[in-house]
Amino acid sequence: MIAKDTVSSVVVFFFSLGAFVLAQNYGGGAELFPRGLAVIMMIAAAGMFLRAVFWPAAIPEGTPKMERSERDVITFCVIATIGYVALIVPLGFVTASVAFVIVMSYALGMRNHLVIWLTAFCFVGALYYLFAHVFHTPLPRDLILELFGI
Amino acid sequence: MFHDIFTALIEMMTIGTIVAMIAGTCLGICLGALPGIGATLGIALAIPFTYGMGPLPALALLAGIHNGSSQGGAIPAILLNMPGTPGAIVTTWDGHPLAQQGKAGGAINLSAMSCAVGGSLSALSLILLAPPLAKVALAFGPPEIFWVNVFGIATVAALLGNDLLKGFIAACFGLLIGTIGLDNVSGHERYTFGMLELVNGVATVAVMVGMFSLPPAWNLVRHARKRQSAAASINKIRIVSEKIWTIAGVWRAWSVASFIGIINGILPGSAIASFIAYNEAKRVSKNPEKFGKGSIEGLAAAECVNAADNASALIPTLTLGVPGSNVAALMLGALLIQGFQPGPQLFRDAPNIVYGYSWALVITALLLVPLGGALASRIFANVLRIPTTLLLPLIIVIASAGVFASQNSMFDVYVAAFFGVVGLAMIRFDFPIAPVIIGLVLGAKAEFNLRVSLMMSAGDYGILIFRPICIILIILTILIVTFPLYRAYQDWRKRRESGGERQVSAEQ
Repeated sequence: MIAKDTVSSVVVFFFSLGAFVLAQNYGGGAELFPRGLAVIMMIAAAGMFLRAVFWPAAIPEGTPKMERSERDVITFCVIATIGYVALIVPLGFVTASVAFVIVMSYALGMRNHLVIWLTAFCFVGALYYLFAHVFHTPLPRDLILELFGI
Repeated sequence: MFHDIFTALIEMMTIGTIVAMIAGTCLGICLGALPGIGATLGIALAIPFTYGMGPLPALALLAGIHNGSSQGGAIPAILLNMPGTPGAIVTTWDGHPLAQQGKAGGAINLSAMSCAVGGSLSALSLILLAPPLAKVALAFGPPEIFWVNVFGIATVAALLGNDLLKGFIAACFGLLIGTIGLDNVSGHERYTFGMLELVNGVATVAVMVGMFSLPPAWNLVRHARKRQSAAASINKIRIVSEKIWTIAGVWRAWSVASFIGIINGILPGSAIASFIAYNEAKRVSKNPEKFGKGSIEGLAAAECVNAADNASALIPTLTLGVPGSNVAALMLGALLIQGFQPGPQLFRDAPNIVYGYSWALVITALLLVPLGGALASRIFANVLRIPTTLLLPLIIVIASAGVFASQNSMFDVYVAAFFGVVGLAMIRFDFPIAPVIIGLVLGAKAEFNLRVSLMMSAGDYGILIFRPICIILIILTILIVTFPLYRAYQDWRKRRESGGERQVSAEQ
């Protein structure tokens, strides 16, 4: 908890300092608000740091500690999500989403092949139909759909 | 006022709006029944889908999700002793013992009825209390509106988390994000780093969906084991619908819980309303000894209070544009997306929308009786069978599609993913997320009113202080900020005293 607050206060302080410095050239009054906010954030971060170092008993209880295995799985999910988002443009929404649902389900330990494949195709297909034909909002162009000439 | 209220009711009675309310309520019950999901994630995911809808069906859908998820949380709480939402923790105390006595069906019926009573009374309080407050707020000038925004941000920062400093950092972070893009007054670009996509600022929907839906989705893996055992035990539960309660037996609990819930909604930041309502219901009960062992009144109070703060939490949101909870912040965003500026002028400019939404909250609360009763809950309880391993990628796919479709922009999807990671880091480092969104939503308005005030006074800051309403708002803001400090001081003193006592007893 103390280490968490020390680290986060340092990160927040330098982030705010960066925001403060970047805002100095805006002019015309545009710098007033962001610089004021950055100063408040720096003061609060300094307060957090001092509290963590000199008065750790005053830190309110935080979230319970996460098990290592849980942390690993969440990290995997985050990386997989970033990968999925990065692949939407090159592969298209349907292909990337079907692949993402299938890969994630298997990677997280599900082994019911029929449910995984059926859900992936039906769910993503229904979502695509909903956006393209009900909301009239086309999703990014797609590899699979192009193969089928849709 | 009454003419507007009844006209809005008539406008709500279209097929599209009625379907949206029913669909929203069913969806809300399902989402509430899934531990780790609930109203906030549900509404965050649904908002991008409302772009293509008219304002009334869109708000009706969101109202249904909001009320439905309150009752949905009771299903796993009663059947499996596993609260679907934080508010349902108290529901487990009497709900699950009732299920163990073979009265699960009756308990779920009672929970639906209690939510309907709490939810509809809360919505009626919104209809009756909001217009007079909006009338007062309409007289506010830019300096007062600036302080109202500051008060709102300070309230959420100070009371929604459990750490004042972190709350303020989160709120300032949200306000800073709100400054990205072209400055409204001077036309200068701020924090755009030469990116064209950032000139119009960061899309509120992308930040909301990223922060409110991705971290809970990733964290679902933490509930995976619990969910697996829950799914396995669904088959073993027999739900027989029987009447186990009478209005005469629960009216005291409903009255107390509704009152506490409504007040709690108006005054944001208290997460312990269900505990207070439960204790008060126990105090006024004729059978307090039954509480915790399957008390009808205990369950009625717990469920009634959960729904009673839904609509009343929107009173400061709709009248002052100051949201007091996560869901209220999302609703503020939803109104902005539909092209409405929340605040007192909404009652003057679009009364059909604001009263229509209030009616949607009343109707969807009442819909909980048929939709959330035992038979329906037997169906909705089956959502617990959906494996987390499948649910997680599906939520992420819905979020991505919704964010993309909101402005046809892949950049917004990247922004959502980025803020998802930021949100996850904030949760891990115990920073609250709601102040970020509220800062983002209110930031531009607060800055605009600050700058206009300074222009009005030719740069004299006195305009922000020496006005009666400003003074009241400044005092309120100071009180709100100092309250957690006082609470922390009291906790510290208690800890010191108990530490001293332990030391004395150890010496003895």
